[in-house]
Amino acid sequence: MTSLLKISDLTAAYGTLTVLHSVALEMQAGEIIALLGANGAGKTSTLRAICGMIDRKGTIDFKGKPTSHLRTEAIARLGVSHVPDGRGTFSSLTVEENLQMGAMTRRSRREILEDINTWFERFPRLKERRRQQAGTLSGGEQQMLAIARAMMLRPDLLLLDEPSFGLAPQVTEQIFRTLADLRNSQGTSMLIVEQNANLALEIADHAYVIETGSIVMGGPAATVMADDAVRASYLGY
Amino acid sequence: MEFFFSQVLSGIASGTIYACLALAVVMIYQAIHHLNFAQGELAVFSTYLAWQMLEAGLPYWIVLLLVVLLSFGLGWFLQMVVMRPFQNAPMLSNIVVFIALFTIFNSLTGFIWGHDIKTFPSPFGFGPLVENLGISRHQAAMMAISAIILTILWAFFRFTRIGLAMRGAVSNPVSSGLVGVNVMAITALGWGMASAIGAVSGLLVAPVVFLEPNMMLSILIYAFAGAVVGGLTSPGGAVLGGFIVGIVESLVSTYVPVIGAELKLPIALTLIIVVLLFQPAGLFGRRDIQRV
Repeated sequence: MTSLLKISDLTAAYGTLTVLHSVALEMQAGEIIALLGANGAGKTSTLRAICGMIDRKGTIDFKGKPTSHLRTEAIARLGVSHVPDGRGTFSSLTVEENLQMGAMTRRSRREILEDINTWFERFPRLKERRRQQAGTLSGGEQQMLAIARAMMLRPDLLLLDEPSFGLAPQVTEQIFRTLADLRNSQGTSMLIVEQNANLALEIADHAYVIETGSIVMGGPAATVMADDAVRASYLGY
Repeated sequence: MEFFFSQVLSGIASGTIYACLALAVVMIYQAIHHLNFAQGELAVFSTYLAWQMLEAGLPYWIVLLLVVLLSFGLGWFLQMVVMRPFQNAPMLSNIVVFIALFTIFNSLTGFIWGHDIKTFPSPFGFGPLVENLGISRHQAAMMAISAIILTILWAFFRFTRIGLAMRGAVSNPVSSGLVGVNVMAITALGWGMASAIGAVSGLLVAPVVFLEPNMMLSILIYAFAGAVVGGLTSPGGAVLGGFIVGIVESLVSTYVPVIGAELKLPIALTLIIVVLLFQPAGLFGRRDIQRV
């Protein structure tokens, strides 16, 4: 069986500054992978490299197809959706238009409308504010919107960059419940970058630890969670 | 009172001219979120192309169609070839390129066609639309065509997916790429549409002011003023803004003794400053609110 995502020997740089050194990572369809690491370790850069947002070299195969030469929009069209660092809200568009933007790659207007309604049911706050400029939403609402927008693409792989960033604990919990539910109900595969390692490991099947641009450890979430060094560095006990 | 009325009418007449080009200004602003200083010169270049074709004996409506298509292609080409390397450059670099384009097209037009004033025909004629109203048939046609373009733009941005993609690409280019929008192509489409609208406005303006390479120079400033007054995000506001600028210009230069014909241009600039100070989004523009 081909892996959903197979990365090997991935190197990436911002200009002359190399931020990823020979990263290797693999995930199967239906899995949730957590990518852990300190600030500046290369978590966000890994997600950006997968989406072609930065210069990269190496092999990135998505559903068996090489994608490391493709541009961002072409990778999105293959079914990779990205909830970026900072949430990527279209702040001058309305909430509803944000969701329509998410479905730009799809054809059927009827299905798009159905999906928008499903997301409004899941997040009633967004429905109340559907005609409001998205830039006026609170941080938590924007994170909900970002996830809903990314899911409007009906992705095979969802990349999430720090979904808990800047959110109140209850909101963070709601977001992670939604993610777990999405995987269970729709089988969406996810690669989650998260500072809050406890939360991420709770819903992840596998985890990788990245340090200064290289993967230093990888394995089943339970194994990674039990590792003494990981506990000391990222879990805080 | 009759004198006042006739001044308002003359303001509406010049307002129509400003409104036409203001539509092109709003179009490019919606596509790239900058004001393109070369907009007027591109329109003049298109108008000269049309003049050349008319001289060659082609019928007016064929010429209009050809020039609109050619201008669209020219706008597309400028984005794909000239602006492309500057996509991640700071705003100031973009502005320098706009000024370069302004100079290049202004000189190119003068070099190819010379600086003599040329007459440009109107297919509508200059007879009065209705007796004693003071509006010519050409003016009425300008208003009607502006209204048509306005409606098309409104529907484009409001109802089509490409229109939504264009608004999204301006609002957040990075996120647009992530949802599968080809931002470069969308921006090129915006340049093409703006150039095509500019060409139409050039063809409409030329019969009124005579064709010469600097035809759009001051008109562009009034059009900027109109777009700013009405709101750069609102095509309808820009048209109304164009009329407001025309009327204010006409009334102020008539009734304020110090300001004669010579000091007309500062009126537009004053309007821009006043609006930006008190109502930065314009009268009808959307105010962008962002929580950080």
